[in-house]
Amino acid sequence: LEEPGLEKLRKHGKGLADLIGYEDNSIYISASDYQGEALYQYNENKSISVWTKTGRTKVTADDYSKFIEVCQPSWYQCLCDTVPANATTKRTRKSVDRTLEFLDQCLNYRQKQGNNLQASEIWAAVEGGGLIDERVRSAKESSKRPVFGFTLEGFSSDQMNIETIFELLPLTTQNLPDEKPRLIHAIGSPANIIKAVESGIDLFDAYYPYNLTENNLAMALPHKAIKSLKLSHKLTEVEEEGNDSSDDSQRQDRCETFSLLNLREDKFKEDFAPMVRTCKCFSCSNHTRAYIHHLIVNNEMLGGVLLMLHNLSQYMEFFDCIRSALTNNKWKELQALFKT
Amino acid sequence: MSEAKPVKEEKDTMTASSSSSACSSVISRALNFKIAAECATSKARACLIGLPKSTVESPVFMPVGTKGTMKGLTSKQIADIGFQIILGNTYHLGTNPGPELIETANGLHDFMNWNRAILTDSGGYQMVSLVELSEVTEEGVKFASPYSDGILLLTPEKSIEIQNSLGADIIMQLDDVVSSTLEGPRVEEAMHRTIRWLDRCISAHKNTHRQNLFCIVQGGLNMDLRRKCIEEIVKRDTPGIAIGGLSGGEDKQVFWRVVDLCTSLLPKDKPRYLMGVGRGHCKRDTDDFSGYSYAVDLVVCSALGVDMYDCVYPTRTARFGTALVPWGQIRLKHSQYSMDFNPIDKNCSCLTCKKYTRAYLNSIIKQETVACHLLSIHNLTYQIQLMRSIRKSILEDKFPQFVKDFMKEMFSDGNYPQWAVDALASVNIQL
Repeated sequence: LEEPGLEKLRKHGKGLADLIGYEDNSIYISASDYQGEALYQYNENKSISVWTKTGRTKVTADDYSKFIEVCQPSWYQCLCDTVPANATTKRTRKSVDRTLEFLDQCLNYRQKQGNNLQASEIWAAVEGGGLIDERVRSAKESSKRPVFGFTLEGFSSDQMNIETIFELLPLTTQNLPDEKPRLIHAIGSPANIIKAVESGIDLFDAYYPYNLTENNLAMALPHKAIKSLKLSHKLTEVEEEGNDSSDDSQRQDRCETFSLLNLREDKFKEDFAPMVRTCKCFSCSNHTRAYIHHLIVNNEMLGGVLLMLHNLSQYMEFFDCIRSALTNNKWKELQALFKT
Repeated sequence: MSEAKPVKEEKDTMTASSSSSACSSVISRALNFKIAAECATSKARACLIGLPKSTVESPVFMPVGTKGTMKGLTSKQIADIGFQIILGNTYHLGTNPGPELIETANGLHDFMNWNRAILTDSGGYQMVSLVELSEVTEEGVKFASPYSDGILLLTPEKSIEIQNSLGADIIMQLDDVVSSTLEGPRVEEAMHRTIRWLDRCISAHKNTHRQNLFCIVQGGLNMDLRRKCIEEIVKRDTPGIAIGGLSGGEDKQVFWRVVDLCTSLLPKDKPRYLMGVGRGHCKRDTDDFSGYSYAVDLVVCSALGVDMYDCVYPTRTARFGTALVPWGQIRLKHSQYSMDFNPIDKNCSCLTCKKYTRAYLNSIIKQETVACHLLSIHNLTYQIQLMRSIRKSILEDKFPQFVKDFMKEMFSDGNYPQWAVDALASVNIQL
């Protein structure tokens, strides 16, 4: 909202994707910032509050829709009022009511505006905090509206504890239409993503690799995972022995399950192997653990760049594993490989 | 300690007082130098410097990759822009990660995965400029390490030892560097000591067959001292020669005269490296460049016969949101660019100019580190384009015209800096 801002986007005229150099890709705009604290107490019946450098800005559904119009994204979430699991019952009920109202206002705006928003699909936001009844109500009511898909709000780890998340999630999604996609924000580790998939979620964001990189951590998918999950049969003994060698670095990645490497640790100072031997990302194809360690301890920007490239690549690889496991009926194996 | 060590056995020279199309080359074991063309009017030359890891075309600008990285850009990005040689700082690398580690990694090239040429400095300049408490004695430079407690001593021998481990194609002698604005006996002392330290460096140097040790001419702004220094230093017959001790905020009129004297006296058949041009004007951690045009220094000094340059300016200024363009600079933070949907320079072929607008860069400049990368890519591309244009014009013997066009574009109001006018006039280029 602040940068580039409504005016700049309008003047540019070709949508947000073009302005930021992503014209070949799709953009999804969500209504709140998942990296920050949810300051829900400042939301009101007619608007939610957004925090920028200049302070607090109130955004109504119409303001929001106007902004979406100049962004021309592929998808956008409706404006929503999200509360954490520990909000009062009264407040939680209000968040469901308000969000439905916002949804209807956004839908209304779409109808009025003719062609301007038709190329952008709208997603409903399912609210309800930690209350099962509200979750079900929000899901059922949202399902009645003509939306493209559903986002599950309020399930991040700073809004709800982990047990509650996986209690409520399946109970919520089972009240959503089967044939429409479900998206969730800020769900992290591979183990949790697997559970979320089991609960009926289809899309995730990249909060996890971003967080890892900020903490100098690198994902290390077990090499076996990639191999075995992609085959529809069980790995034969021959295939298992295949790449074995007594090389030290290879011994490291004969690790049976998913793990994380902290590149800041001293032990990587003289480790001239790539971060993950079997990874094909730019960083692993061109650089060593020792070099990345050096960059990190010297606060060089390139360290973060290389880590992020790697983590995104591994993350995508992980989703490939999920899909393979589903196709090849290897769910239990997947769970075992990524239990943390 | 003051005996010059003979450097190489095989020396094949086709000298010397050659006219424009003569081709002269010197073969040493680690450097193969060839003049491809000389400007018929000025003292500019276009050369080929054959180094162990790559051949470098000059006039050449070397970007500075301080700690083994170019501020957020990968080796591949630097190579894609077209650089054939980069500079690494011995002071930083010598402490973090340290020469033993890099030697274990098979040298700096392998450690950072850069397969072209590298030049390392001696570590001396940075100590003096970065460190509060440093003391110079005949032994070496004593200073307090900012990385750990205690006092360190950098001697000529130690500097060469570190540089031998790092494995760069070109290494620099440790010199006794004093501020160019300093006057008095200290300047002469530093000049003489630099020569003595050169001899110590030559003795300590282990890898003459794959690393080229360059000497550094000192002498402040004193023409006599410079002359004396050159006379002595040339006897040591190093593969290349650097001109040091300038760009510290001295008067430009004196600056160019010193450069000119040096290039006139130095042997033609060796590369000349002018160290840190523009460095003195880069006040650390500010964006106050006061309209200083660094590119002008490069063009004028090329006319005076310099072959190699380095400076942190293009990448440092990128971090403050400044883009370099043929007509000066653009400070993208300014609100005047907020709705400007043009690229930084519509004639620039870099990634940043192909994909992004000034308006977008203006949006992200204070908040996203990618802004810094995008601007660095542009500024480095600008830099390399400039050098390529200089070289091309020399090869085509159109250098004087190039200079005139360049200056006209940079100073559209015709207000040329007097020092540049005088310097160019001295080599027969009239603005």
